[in-house]
Amino acid sequence: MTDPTARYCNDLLVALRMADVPGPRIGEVLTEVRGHLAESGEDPVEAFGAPEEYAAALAGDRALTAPAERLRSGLTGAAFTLGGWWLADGATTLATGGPAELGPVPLVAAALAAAAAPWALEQLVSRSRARLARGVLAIAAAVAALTALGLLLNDRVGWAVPAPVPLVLGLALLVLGSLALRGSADPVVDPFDPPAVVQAHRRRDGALVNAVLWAWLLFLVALAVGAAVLADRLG
Amino acid sequence: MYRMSAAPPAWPPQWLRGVLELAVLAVVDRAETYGYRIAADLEEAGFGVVKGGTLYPLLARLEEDGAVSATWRAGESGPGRKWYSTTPAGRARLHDQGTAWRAFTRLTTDLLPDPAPTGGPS
Repeated sequence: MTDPTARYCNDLLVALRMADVPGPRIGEVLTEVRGHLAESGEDPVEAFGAPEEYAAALAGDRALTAPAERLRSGLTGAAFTLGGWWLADGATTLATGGPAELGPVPLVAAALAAAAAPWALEQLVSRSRARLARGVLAIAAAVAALTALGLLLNDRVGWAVPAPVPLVLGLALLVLGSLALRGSADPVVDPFDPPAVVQAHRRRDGALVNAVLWAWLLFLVALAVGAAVLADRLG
Repeated sequence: MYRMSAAPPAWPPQWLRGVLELAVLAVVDRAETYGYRIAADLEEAGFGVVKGGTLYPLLARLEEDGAVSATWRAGESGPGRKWYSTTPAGRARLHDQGTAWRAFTRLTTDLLPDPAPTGGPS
């Protein structure tokens, strides 16, 4: 069982991340909270309020993430969505034969990901069941809308291309997305960490996030290819 | 400064909200200090318990405004602390707001009826 301070700091870390507070500032806040509680012996919630409320008080109305950073994270989300989609499309058509198609649906999905991915992620990791349900519903609605759009436009809009084209384009976008993600890692660091340690944390976080994303991506692509091959054999 | 010999009265929260920034700036201006010590000094001065959830965001705002500067220092045996001190801009702000505050409290005091019984209509 973790002690109340450790538990509070874990919840506060998540709340500060969701409030868009930069990693180094989060490290400072957590060190301040731990120090204050160690000296005062107070209960964390009694001293600082609920983690979400304290995070909101620290974040205030200020824009903590620079517009350039927001743009970069939006473009990274779009690159991963479009790259993953095209990779799955290319791999599926390679496995089943026939040409692939470059249509508008993946572009719409990428635009959606660029605009709404941070919001959706915030809902999905929330402890509030209402927000979690809202996030799941929004994603389900987006997937349903994209599927409907795909069926509506079936073979009417888009270009038929050899299967390796989306595969190569997808891989190229994913590599670009990976590089952007690696450069934008924003780890929570202790204010006493020397710059070399901070840099090591940044590299480690970038590699970790990339590894998790690629693992999910390859799993989903394998699932899509498997389902397509199965449907092809049954059909 | 108002010093308490017994338990401090519970000041109306809106009073504290109005004056806390000035009080914190005054405490930091006395000597370089850190968060928990500031809260303890304010309590000792009779302001009551100032919660960490109120104090640290206020210190962050003062730092962002350039009224205080802060340095992290590792503790010898205890936790590392962020030490705060006033900047020249912070001292000027303390002086200006302190002067205004004194004028404001004088106005309020002059406006209030004498605390002794007035013998008015019952």
